[in-house]
Amino acid sequence: MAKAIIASPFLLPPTQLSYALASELEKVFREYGWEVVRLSGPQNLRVIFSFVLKTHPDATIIAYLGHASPTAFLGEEVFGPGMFAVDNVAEGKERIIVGMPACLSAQRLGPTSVLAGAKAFVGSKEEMYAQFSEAERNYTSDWFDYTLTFYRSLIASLNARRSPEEALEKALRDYREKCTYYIELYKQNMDRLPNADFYAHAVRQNRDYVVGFIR
Amino acid sequence: MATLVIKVVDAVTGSVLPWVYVDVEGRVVPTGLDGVSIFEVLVCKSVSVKIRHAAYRPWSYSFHAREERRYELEVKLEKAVL
Repeated sequence: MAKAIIASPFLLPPTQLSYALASELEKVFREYGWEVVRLSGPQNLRVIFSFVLKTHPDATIIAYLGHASPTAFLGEEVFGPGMFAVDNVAEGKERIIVGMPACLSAQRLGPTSVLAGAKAFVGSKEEMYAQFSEAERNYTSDWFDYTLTFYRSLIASLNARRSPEEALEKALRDYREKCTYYIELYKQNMDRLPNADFYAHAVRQNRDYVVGFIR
Repeated sequence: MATLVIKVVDAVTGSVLPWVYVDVEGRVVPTGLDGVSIFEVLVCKSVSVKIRHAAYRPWSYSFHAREERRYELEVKLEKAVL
């Protein structure tokens, strides 16, 4: 059975939302027959993450959903070096690492991980937005929908024995298509959705700066 | 006319947020270093208030001044970026 590690910290807003998204992602992995090792809230420390990577060398995908910087997935170590950073990327060897949603990780952590032996890395070069449920619309469920579109596509392709490169290309294409759908929807309804201007910008940013690196 | 004083703060730290985009019925006055933005609004008329900051959850509101006086509104913005 294929296996994934999902890391979902909970310390600072808006990680309460990305944590909920991680719970939905866990269900998706299980629907597709994957085993999941979940790092919840305070477990997202470097020492625990390293231990989990060592004890689960068969985990193909590492999905991180939370605060990040150009050089690290911060986990609960928001004011420290981070749980997975440019100085310990070798621990991610032979895995597909996805930092989504997470800010800025494609700037340095992504390329460094792939150079250090990760099969692939997906992350954003800019900040990524969370979406909230507002009075006029539940933008959170839209955010869940387009983010999970990426993961669903990736998992389905890997289950179909496509190469990581093919799987990633398709997942990014599906993700961008779904993002575009929501951008257009918000743009067309700006007169009746008072916060649609902001969320159209948020989805555009979440779409346009997500990139993949392949070894 | 009524005076609408809007103060914008970070929901977690409580610190004031300067240079926040505050739009009342299409008139934009960014917050100052004290996180405050002041508008004159018509009495007995609803006005739309939109507050935007690149790193925070958007805030939209319909404000209605019932009489000529000073109204103070503190808006707590939540972080929206990861």
